[in-house]
Amino acid sequence: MRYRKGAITLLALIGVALALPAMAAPEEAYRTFLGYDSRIAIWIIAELHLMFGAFVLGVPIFAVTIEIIGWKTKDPRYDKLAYEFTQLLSGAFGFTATLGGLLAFSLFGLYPKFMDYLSGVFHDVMYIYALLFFVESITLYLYYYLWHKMAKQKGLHILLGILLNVCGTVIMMVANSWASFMMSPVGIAKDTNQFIGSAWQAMNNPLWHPLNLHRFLGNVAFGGFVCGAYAAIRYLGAKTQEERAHYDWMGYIGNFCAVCGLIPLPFAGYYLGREVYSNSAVMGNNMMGGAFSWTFIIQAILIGGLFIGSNYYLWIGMHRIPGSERYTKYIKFIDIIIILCFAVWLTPHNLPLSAEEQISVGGQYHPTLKYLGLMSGKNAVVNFIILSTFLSFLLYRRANLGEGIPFSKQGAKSRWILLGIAAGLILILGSYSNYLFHLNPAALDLPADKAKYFKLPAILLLVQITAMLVAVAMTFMNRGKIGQMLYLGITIIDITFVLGVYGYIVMAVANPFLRNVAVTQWMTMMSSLVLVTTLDVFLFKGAPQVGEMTWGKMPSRSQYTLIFLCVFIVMLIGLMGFIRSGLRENWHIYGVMQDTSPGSWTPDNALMAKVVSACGLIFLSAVSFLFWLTSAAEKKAHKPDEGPAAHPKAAPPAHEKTARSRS
Amino acid sequence: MKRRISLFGYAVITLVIVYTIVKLVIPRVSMWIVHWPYPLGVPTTLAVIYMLLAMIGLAIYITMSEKNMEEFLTPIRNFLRGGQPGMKGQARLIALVLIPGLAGWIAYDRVAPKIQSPTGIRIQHPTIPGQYEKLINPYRDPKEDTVKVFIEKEGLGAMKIEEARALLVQKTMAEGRGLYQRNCRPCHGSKADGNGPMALGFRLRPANFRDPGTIPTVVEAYVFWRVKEGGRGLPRESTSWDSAMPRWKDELTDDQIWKIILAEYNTADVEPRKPEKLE
Repeated sequence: MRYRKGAITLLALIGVALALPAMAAPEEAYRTFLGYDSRIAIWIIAELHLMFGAFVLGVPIFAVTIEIIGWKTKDPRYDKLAYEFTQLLSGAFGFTATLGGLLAFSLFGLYPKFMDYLSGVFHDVMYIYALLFFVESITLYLYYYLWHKMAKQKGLHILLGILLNVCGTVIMMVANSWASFMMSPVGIAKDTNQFIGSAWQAMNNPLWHPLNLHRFLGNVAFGGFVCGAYAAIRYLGAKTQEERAHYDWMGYIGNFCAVCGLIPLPFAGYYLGREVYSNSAVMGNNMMGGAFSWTFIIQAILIGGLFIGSNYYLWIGMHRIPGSERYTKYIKFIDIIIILCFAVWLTPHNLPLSAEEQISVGGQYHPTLKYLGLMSGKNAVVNFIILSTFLSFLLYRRANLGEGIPFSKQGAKSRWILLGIAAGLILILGSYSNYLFHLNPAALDLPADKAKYFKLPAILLLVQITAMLVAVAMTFMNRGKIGQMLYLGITIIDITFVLGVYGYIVMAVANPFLRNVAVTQWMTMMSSLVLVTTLDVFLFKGAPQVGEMTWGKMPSRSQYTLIFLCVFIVMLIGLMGFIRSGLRENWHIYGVMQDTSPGSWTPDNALMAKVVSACGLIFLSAVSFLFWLTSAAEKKAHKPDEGPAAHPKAAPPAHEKTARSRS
Repeated sequence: MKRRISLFGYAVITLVIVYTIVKLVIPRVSMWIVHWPYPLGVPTTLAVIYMLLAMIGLAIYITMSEKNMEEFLTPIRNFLRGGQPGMKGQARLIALVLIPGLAGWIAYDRVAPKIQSPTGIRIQHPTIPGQYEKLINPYRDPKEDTVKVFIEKEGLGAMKIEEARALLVQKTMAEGRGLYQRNCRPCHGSKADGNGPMALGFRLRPANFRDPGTIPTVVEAYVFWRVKEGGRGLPRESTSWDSAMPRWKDELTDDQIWKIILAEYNTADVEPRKPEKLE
């Protein structure tokens, strides 16, 4: 009830905020925030709003997915878990709305002229935004409060969850259109800088979809890691083995969901970065080689921390799986690969050097190590890291499984499914290979003689298709495990060692084609993830379990790792928010409306670190408060004299279906 | 089966190997690759990053299981508890004196004042000033009007526009090459590889344009700005005092600079960065 009241109040506030353009005095361009720097105030409020927004948009995606799994498998544990995730959501939703209202007030109050311009462009969309927010809040409360009442109409309830996700995603897209318009405005009259386009034109600006994709995936990763931290805190404070088992499992699912978002995220980031460059070469240069280049080194450290932490958590978890000793011996090799890849990932092109070092290496770059700092090297290793993380999951999945039913005895259905998936992948890879073979260099503003550089990636895609056919044929001959490793191995050679090195050549002589090289790497990697996972499902179909999973037996350091991951992703989202917004430098709307306020300078890294850390601290404190509220409410609902809770019982420590659920 | 070397021993050996690679192998291999007269040391910042990563990798492996933790900690515990007979006992005493002593010496060395240059961070590609941002090299793909003027001037009446355009680019390229060799070659080298006859005279070596991390990563307008304004035109964060690049606007016209840029990319056998078409 309290949420509903809060939401209604906040919607009213947003309504007032939307009406503010009429009340604002556009003559006055800037005001201060209670006498303090208005830019920092907006920065903090917007960042906190985005952090809560990311959580509120990310969690429903996997809450509904888990609910669907529970519905299909008829396993009440999933339903309980999905409910628990949603519980966290309802509290955070109020915070998101409050901060959204505050942000709208602050923007209209502190930057009236700019907001006058922006609302002039987007006023129609703003009403739709408010309406969507209203629909989302109603959907969320229906979804949450009717959870148990609708237990027998699960399909309908899931539909509500899907509607919630649709609303959330559309809201995110609308807000993204404003932010991306500020970076890549369209529909502007050249002479007057007045907006002469339509609202749709403004929304559909060049950076809109790259930003949508990046934020969508980022939100899933963010939500997963924050939920993982919640589970870790509950695990550490658990009084019973049953509780520990449940929160151990919840932490695992949170981490799993986060990694699912994290794996495609580097590519989405690359896509956004390339589009930023395409839109403005100056912005692109500033981003990777200029004023923001060192923030990307910090970003690399944070992303490194996320991948290493997620793998580490998984590897510790292997020890609670009977039978995992068959695979743990391989972990040290994955560890070495990931560390080596991060050594490349973290090597900057331009090094901090003393004068003596500058003299000894003859300049600002190390003559050989400088190559590790270029985009091609980074693309190569990030794909290798993703594949290594995937391999960790693969080992984890099969850790307590024995030999499955031979593929040749699995019946026609399995054969058709495998053939169907392989055919789909071949079609996708083949189409792109064909596209590259026939790509006109003029389409990339390249001279005709550069067409020869398009051939190698196209040929490698054909090699990949051949390897796929071999892997599938070997599976038909009951040699699927070898086929799997063969395909994975060829993928690694192709994307890391061949295309990774080839990228340097392309960078120098046919730079615009580097994007196609990156797409080839990504497609090859994704095909590997899909095919190898599919093969794995069939290879271990009907496999007996070596022993029972022992959920709730994780050492404390594994749980601290989950908390560490949460802190890292919070800092990362804060940092990336700064970069994206800061790239506009002294422009409210890039190239159209200049920021002439006293705070229009680009913050240095020290100020960035202070503000982003402050945002992270405030967010984590607020989230801790919410978690505390959630657990307090849960305890109240579970008073000992009232017996078991109304919702499904706590998870058993071990379950026969556990191994299946890990997939 | 018990290992002959404990996990602690492996950890120490690993760190020694990584340190050797960073301090000895990479400098010598780099020297061999680029034909440098002496080993190319790994800068301290990078060496610290690599060593830290090695330690993180080890810490992950050691703390991954209770068994590994126990195996790693046992020799440390035994060492601290003491009770080893004879030489081992004496070695323990020596180590207990040496380790804190070493830590103390490192701490002293880090904080004691001494004459040293500060470690600086240099922004590689500073923001291009607004007036240069949208400039396009007029000689890379000359407009039809320019080509027509060229046809008329050179008396090529019957020649097709495309042929004349190619000829114009060729002619401009030749002019640019001449200008490059006269003005840029002494530092950047005749092959644009940063190895001109005067290159060794500078603390920051002239840029090697064949390196994919230099001119191929920027648009031509950026190079135009750098040539025109030189090192003095760099902002503070790009340590303008480190650059010996002259301010060519005092010596060359804009047209000459564009021609040089055209020839520079061609001589280095690289292509300028082009913003891709938006999707």
